[in-house]
Amino acid sequence: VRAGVVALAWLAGILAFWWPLPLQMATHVRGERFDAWTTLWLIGHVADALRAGTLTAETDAILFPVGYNLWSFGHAALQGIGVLLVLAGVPLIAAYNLLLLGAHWTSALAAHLLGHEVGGGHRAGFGCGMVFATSPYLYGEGAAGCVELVSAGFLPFFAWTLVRLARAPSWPRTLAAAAALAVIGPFNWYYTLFAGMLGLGMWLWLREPRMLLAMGLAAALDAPLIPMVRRETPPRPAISAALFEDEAAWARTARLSDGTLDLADLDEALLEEGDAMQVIRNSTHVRSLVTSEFVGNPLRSTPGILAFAVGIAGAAAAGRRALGWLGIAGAATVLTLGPFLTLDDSPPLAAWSASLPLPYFPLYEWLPFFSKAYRPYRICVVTLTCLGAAGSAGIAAILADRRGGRAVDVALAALGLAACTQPSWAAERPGTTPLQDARQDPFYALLSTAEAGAVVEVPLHYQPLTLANARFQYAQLAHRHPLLNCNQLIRRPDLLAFRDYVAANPFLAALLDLGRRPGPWSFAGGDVERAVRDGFRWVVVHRRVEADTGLGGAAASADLLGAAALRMLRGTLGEPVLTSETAWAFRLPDQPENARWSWSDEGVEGSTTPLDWARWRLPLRGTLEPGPGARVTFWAKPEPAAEVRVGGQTFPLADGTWTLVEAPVGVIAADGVAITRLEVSG
Amino acid sequence: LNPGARATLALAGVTAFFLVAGPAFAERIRDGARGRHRAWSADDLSRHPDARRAAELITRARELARRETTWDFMVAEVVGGDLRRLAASRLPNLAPVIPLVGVNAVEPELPVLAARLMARFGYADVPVPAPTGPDAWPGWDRRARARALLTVVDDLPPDVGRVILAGTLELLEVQRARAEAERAAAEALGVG
Repeated sequence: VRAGVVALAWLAGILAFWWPLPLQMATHVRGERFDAWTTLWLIGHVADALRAGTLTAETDAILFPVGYNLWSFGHAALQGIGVLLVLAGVPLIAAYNLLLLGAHWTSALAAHLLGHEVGGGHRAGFGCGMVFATSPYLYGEGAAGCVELVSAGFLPFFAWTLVRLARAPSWPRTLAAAAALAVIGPFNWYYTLFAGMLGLGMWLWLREPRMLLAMGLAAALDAPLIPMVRRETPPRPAISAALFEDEAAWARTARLSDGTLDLADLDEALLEEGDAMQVIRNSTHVRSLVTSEFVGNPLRSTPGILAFAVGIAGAAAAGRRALGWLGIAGAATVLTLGPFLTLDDSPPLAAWSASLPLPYFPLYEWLPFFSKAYRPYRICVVTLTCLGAAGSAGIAAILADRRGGRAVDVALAALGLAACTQPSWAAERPGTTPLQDARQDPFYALLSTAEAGAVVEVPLHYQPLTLANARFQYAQLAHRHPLLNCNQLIRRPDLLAFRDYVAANPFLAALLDLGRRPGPWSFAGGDVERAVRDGFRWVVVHRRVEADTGLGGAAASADLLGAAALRMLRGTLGEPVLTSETAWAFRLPDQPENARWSWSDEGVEGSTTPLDWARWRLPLRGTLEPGPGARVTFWAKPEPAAEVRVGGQTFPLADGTWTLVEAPVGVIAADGVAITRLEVSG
Repeated sequence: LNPGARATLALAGVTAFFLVAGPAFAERIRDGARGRHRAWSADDLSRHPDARRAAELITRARELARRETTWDFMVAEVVGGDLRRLAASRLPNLAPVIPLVGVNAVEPELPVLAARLMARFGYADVPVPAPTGPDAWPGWDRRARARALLTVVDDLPPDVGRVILAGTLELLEVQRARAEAERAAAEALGVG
């Protein structure tokens, strides 16, 4: 009964932590980054393929026609649970949310178990669970959609088996510890590595030889998974201070991440450089650590103030019994700082910093397999485990002292309430960010009934730049046509394969970054024909685009096509065949009428430089003498007016989205409307 | 000390660190990042990897500003858009900078604000251009705007912020010169 109450209490705490998501489980997700949409697609795709009996590791449902290997996603076991939920009849969005909340809930329970073992009671268990489960790190990863990282309870669970093994060594406990470590492998190789680090730390402290035996057994059990890990992550490139100090390298990496480097310029060396930069970009900065605020961006996440406060206070109370936990926590924290000490995220690396490599650097360079942990900030999950255990040891010490027991109850209740509601009030208050509506655009149902053939959603990008763009892969579940767009081009072998295919077809290359790259675009009718021969039939253009204030940042305008791009598409493919309020689908002709196209705005009388991402308060000053047939094209967003008028026409706008407006030139009445990409032609 | 007292003291210490010392230290780190570039001179700026591009933009702005056009905002926007692309080549998430560059053409208070920002970046001796343009936007909350801009520029890496601000002030200088030329021409014609 007591265990049931504990489980229910943690369930309530986790629901409060993710509030208001529990109210909209079937329709919305906390999808602040592209990972959420990728995971949704993967679960949905595998479930659909299993139902149809067509599941294969290689699929061309995305990255068509190159194809993609599903094993490259990794974390197969966790996604498998999501697939089982869908097969059991749970709607996809609800299954994803259940997976998130379930992963978090079990993490809290595992930490509670560790705390209970260390401190000998449920109060200690609550202390450990609170430290571990309510950290900004778990929130950040969960909000980003990295559900596999929220299922971090494997670490405290493994620590629990080691504590039990150290207290009463036996073969059953040795095997239990080995099994606890080995089972992490199929779920998350990051955490397998981190659990191994935690295990080594505990062995150095407690010196129980069977711990090493358990870890050796687990390594042997997980050995067959190594080829899959190798597939998921290409070999990590070498890192160096010189690279991190190189301003030009930082600039190249920024352009690569921003998707503004020309596709043809991408090569193995440049992508390796970008991967190497990930190591320092994913390291915890001193500035983040000394504030340890509750932030939404996982890259800036830390164990958090509460974890440090409870852990250090617990260690102070427990004395020598908690020194080991504190030592491992300290060592793990140093590892989160990455290869060099960086004060903040201003590149490049300072000279003094470059001369002082941290322990992570030699481990990355020389310890086999360690370089797979190329996102150092995630090592804070080890810190969290140890701070939680130290906190529970302290609670046990205070309770054993028979003074302050009541104070512990009051403090735990108050801290628990504060901890579980942090996303709603602490620091950046990331929990107040609106949830993402994960329902599919009805346009895709229309597209699903259309003639067979692969789809290109434009603008095509080789990086998942914005949420609107990251959703293209998820939308494939609704229209079911094979899709060229793919969020997984962050893996360099797939990006190089994408480059080889797309760069070889000037028509497809013209669709790349179409929202930002100015013309001219040049391709031949044969290029369109070749795309059709390869299996393509549809080009989808969006007339409503989610206003991205998170992932997209400055790149958010990349999704908005300008007038010239629209003219090029219409001129090449004719008018769209499928239309809705939100999107158009252009059909690729089997035999294009023109042999060659070259689209350029140069010399077009009266065309203007587009207003780029500005919020202009009308009236604009100026005079305009339009020629016959002159048109104005722009994107508009409510702030907060729900419509914009051009001449006599009224265009309704939708909250939180940019809407494409095309009209004959006229007076624009747009009070309370944000406008961007204004272009006048003719 | 008993365990409870030790825990209370430690809790107080950690809390004090994160509430007081930590944020102060973080602020110093940010100041330090700015300070790394405080000694920059105009020569240093010219050696900046993006300086050549910045110079091209400024030249283009000059050309545009000299043309007979009433579309002041468009001139500013051309520069703003290009500067954004320039800045984005070094760091993403600079979209909010554009209004700073864009609105300078017509917002009288922003040159003063820009000069203050320049002073913050070590350009205290830059002459402050005269306010230009009419107050074209009734209802504009200038104070809120200024606060927002200060925040945006504070968050920029100093070198990027300086390139942008240098370009902004160049543009303002061009516009001021043009306004003076127009006034002189009007006086010469006896219509001033």
